[in-house]
Amino acid sequence: MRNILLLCNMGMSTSLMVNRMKAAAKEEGYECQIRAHSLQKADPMIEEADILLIGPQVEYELPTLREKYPDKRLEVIDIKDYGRMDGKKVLHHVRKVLSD
Amino acid sequence: MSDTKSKFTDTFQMKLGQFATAMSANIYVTAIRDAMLAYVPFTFIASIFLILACFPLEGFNNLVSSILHCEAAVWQGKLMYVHASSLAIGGLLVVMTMAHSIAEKMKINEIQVTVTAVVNYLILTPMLVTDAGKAIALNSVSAEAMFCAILTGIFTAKIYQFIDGKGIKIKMPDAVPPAVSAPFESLIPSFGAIAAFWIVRLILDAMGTNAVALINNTLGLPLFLIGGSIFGAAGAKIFEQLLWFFGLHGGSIVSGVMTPVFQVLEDQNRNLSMMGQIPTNIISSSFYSHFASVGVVGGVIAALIVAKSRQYKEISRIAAVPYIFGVGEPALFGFPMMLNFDLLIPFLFSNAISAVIAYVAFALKLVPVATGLVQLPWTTPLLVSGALVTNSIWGAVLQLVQLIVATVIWLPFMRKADRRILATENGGSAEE
Repeated sequence: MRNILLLCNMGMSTSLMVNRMKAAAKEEGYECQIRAHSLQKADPMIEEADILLIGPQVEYELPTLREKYPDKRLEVIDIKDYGRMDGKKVLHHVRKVLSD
Repeated sequence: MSDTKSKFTDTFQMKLGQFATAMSANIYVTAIRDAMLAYVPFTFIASIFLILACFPLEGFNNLVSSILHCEAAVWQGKLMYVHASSLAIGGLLVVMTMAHSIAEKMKINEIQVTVTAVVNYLILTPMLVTDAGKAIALNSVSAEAMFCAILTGIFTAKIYQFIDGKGIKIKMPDAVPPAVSAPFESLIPSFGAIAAFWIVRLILDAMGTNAVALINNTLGLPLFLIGGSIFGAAGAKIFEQLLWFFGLHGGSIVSGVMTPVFQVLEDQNRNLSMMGQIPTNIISSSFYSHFASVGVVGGVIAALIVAKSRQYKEISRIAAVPYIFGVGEPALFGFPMMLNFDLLIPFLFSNAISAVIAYVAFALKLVPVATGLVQLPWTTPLLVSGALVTNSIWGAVLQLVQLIVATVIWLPFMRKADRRILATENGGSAEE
């Protein structure tokens, strides 16, 4: 089972996205755990995640995260998909990246 | 968007992005922000007890008294236990969260640094000698001493890290179990940090002053003058919006600098309210959270009213509900508002305008200033938050007025942006 972690400043707006992605995953029968968390205290969760999705509003944290987790899959969520809260598209992107 | 415009935008966006990355990589800024994030929940918790103890309705107080069969002052006093142990010692709480968050970032012994910082903080705090023995006056460790707490946390960690990095440690023989030797290894760095603060205290004694007074009167003064003025608050809001315009989390970047100032101002209000006086600081953390951000939500309402294009209609519906709770990302990225030059002016200024409206209303005493007794998360819905933090229905009325003004400001801009989208939708050159 895949472990997908969404990160933003407080985990507020990403938690909206999580709900949409969960709905899409259920529809497609894709087995995964999707969670949202605040960037600041996410370290233990990051360790166990297969892929990190970063809210576009905190894209500037990307260099810091890359440095800290050079081996993690890091993706910034597409701005358009994020604005439309399009869980389906974001999930498809995840599946493509993880080739599931 | 023309070529020159987009070139300028690209450069500007890159520069701001670099600035944001630099801020987020700066351990002091992020440590202060994290320390405040760890402290603020306790202000919410204490607020719940405090508002019950200082409830504005006589009828409620009489009811509770008659149920409990005791004087109002008695049960109110018991409710205040929580306040005296949390909000009233805000400085002490912040020195802990501060030392912990910075030690975490410096990757040094977190618990050791935290405890050392508490010791250092109390070294700087003059004690009272009473008949019952030595005592610490609560107000000397209150949020008033926030800057002293922040600096104590930083310098304690700095000194600790310096000595620790030099490798000066008490070496135990190999036969000693690590659990026994570990506390000794951190002995010298802590000793050095404590000795340094002790010397500072001696110097302050010789000068006839104390750390809190000295820091608040020097470093604190300009911060309060700027942060406590409408220009500072509105300016911070505009800067925040500018960052958001380029898709950067403005609130997170600005809060590391501004939150401590607003918290201290809030705390001064709380003190006055508790003494039965009228709070004096118009600008406070309640003001910034609940009265200075009413602008952009007006854009979503304007879109709900005027949108004709499919895109804007759809997004305004998606964005409206999260925005009731202050979550603006769907609106920001959905319409989108970011990098949308049709919406630039209201996007940058509507929040600041809402702050000015609120400031005028408070200054003219049309609405009572936020009491400081109730601190609410920024996700508290409009109208509810306004009424609770000012302890008056007029606080909600003020937010309603701000909302209407903001919507009116947004209407023409939203209409223009929407018609542009509508034209492309009808012209067949649809989105990808």
